[in-house]
Amino acid sequence: MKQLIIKATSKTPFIKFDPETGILEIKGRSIPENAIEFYKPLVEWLNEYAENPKEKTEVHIQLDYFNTSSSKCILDIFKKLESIHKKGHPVVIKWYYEEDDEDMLEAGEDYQSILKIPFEMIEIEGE
Amino acid sequence: MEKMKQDLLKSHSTNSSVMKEIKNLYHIHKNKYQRKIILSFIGNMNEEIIENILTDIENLSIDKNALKKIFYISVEVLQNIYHHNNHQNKIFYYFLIETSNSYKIIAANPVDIYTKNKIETHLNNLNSMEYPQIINLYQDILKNAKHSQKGTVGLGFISIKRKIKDKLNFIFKKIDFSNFIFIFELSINKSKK
Repeated sequence: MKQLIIKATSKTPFIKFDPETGILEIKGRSIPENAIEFYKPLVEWLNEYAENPKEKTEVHIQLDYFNTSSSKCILDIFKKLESIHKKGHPVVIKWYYEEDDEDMLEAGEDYQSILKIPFEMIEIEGE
Repeated sequence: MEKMKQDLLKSHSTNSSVMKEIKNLYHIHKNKYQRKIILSFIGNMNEEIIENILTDIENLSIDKNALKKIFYISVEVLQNIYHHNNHQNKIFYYFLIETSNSYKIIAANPVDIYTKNKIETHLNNLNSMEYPQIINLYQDILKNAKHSQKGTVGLGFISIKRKIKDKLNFIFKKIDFSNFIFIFELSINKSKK
């Protein structure tokens, strides 16, 4: 499998998934009018990755903003990762949020409450 | 043929009433808030306009936490109008206003009676709920809802209510039996994080 790299735009985040390291990075903002179209390549890539995942997969997700259309897509991505985790290939989600950004911490906790997959909430300094 | 002509005339007349009323309301708000207005826009809704308004918000020199909330809520308000306004007339307006203790977002757009009834029921229901109920509802919909063809999931108003932790103020100004202007007014307290 090749690396998946999607460049950031003013409405969509930077995405990098390296199949050699099993590290998925999502960083920036996710506010497209239609998030399904944007996340489609990542979902397809994950479907292929799920057939032969690394021993351990790590997700580093650091979003400034995401809209409600994206929130469902992010959950669908996490659910796919959850199924990899359940099949015996551990997955950990590292959810980064800026200090004082209570809303982003709560958003991470929403996913944590829905999914049976390890989450690490990591506070970072604001830019 | 005659019926088509009549329908066309009726539609034209409705459109001009909508335009007149929304411009009138825009000026009422403009005069009411005058120097307190930080941003204002009136025109037809499209993706480019949303992007322009959001860029203007991002460039404001205000408290970072307030800016984040204003940005997030504006995204949801504007994309709600973009996706769900089924009215033939796409005009809308948007204000960002600064008062001594809060920021106010006012948005208005025409809606048909069906949309009016749907929004009214939904917002009244949200306003009757306590904060923990809103969180439960949000998580329940996030978990179980499916995307619509437009990419929406029905979480817009709920997420706004969750973010502002306050009443969602709205009114519907009647134009005629089947056409209304939906005016949505939200306050973001400056002391809230």
